[in-house]
Amino acid sequence: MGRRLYSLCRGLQITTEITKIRQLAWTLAKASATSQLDVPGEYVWAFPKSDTFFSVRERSRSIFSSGNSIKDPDVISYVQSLNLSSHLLNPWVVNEFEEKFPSWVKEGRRFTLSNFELFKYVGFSAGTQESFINFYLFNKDKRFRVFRGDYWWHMDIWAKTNINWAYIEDDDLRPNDICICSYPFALTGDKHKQFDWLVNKCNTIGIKLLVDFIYLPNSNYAVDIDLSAECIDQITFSFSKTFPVQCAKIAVRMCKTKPADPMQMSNDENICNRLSAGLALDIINKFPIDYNVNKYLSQQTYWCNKLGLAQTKVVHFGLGDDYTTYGRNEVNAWCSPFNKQQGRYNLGMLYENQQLLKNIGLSDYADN
Amino acid sequence: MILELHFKNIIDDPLCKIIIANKELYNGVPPSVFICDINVDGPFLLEICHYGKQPTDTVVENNVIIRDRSFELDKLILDSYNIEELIWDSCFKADDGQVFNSCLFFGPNGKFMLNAESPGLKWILQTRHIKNNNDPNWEEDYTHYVEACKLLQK
Repeated sequence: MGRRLYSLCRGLQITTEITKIRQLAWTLAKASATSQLDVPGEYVWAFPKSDTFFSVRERSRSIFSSGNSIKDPDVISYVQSLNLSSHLLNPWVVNEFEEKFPSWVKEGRRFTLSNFELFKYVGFSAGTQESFINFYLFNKDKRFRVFRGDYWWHMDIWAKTNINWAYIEDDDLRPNDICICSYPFALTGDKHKQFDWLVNKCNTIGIKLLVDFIYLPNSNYAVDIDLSAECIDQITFSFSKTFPVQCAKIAVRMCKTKPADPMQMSNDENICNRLSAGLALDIINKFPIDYNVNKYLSQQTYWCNKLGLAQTKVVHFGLGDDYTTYGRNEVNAWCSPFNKQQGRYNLGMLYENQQLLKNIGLSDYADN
Repeated sequence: MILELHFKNIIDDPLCKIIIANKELYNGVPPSVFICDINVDGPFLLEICHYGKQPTDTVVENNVIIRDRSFELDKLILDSYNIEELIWDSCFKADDGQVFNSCLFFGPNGKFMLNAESPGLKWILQTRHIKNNNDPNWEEDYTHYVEACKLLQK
């Protein structure tokens, strides 16, 4: 009862401890409703309407969903101590952030970005969504292509705005196509097994590929890429998956050539969000890019072993069987019908609420 | 188990008895809300008896009832869970022998009866699944919920 087999691509089999996972999900959902979490949620949907069975059940089904950052208490505490409004008075703060960001990335030792310096144009982005919208807008006559399992927001927006798109798996790549791929891949927390093929194919056909390094800071030897590939001329980075500043909408777009789109215009006009850029600058001055991997890797190992999940190369993810076969199906997926990430567990709530889980006997993780 | 009964349209001070598992919990004019904590486990019969009504308590003019001593059951809440549609699984047996299924109106003297179980939530989930076949995981979910409640009370 409550144990299912999760097949790994390497042929290993891990038994997902569904019963333990559900017990944790219910307990964390109930604790959300009764304000007992060590670190409370950051979204309205993270709070059950009440502590009754039905509200708690609804929340229990989404406890491990989303790709959002670990709500690290030290980062939260630091952010709360900042005087962010002072950044509004600093006309150079966005530039300072954009200048500092590439060197902050280069300090990372858990990934390899060869020829990173080719991306000379660094732009603050109001979340990667601003970069994506600009990418869609400037390539509106092309057909967008993604692998199944990539960030569902792309497909949802394309479907809603009648943009031409297709999964890469469903048709050959053609000259009028344009591709997006996350690396590490959003669904698996590792390099997509066809990523190299995609780069070669895009180069051969002469089409562009936007590489979204959404989970790069939280990754552990997942990324090794030569960015000199001709097809790659835009790369994006997100803070919302790394630091608990999701709602400050902080991201970065880097390009080999200077773009001429609304986002770049905002940068050139010096009207970017200085509160967010200043916050981002404060954060990268304080925390290294691999802060989460250093801090949480042993917890990831602990929880993956305990719950029978495959440890991914992104520190807040584990992979396993879906712990709820209802409520998260195609018809009723969270936020979007394209959000199909049932087997990817965001372990952040387990890390953040370690003390609570220890107190009630659901964790015996030992800090070193 | 916490039992909560909500009454409405209480006209001319009718009288009722509230009985659970043959134990009388209340006798008098129905209050708008009746709450009591009772020690009951497993299946039980809830009875609400309407009594003491006389023919003169019904005023008829030109073959139309213009005033009638009566009341209605509005809501039934078990352990904080409104049983909602399950309230219609009840019946009202009038003293003259007539039986009215799904009747929450206490017009004639007689007895409202509903079979339920404690814990209330478990009974609600189970009964709904039996009727609608749409919640196959109810028992596992219920167990997790109860367990979570216990853990967090530590």
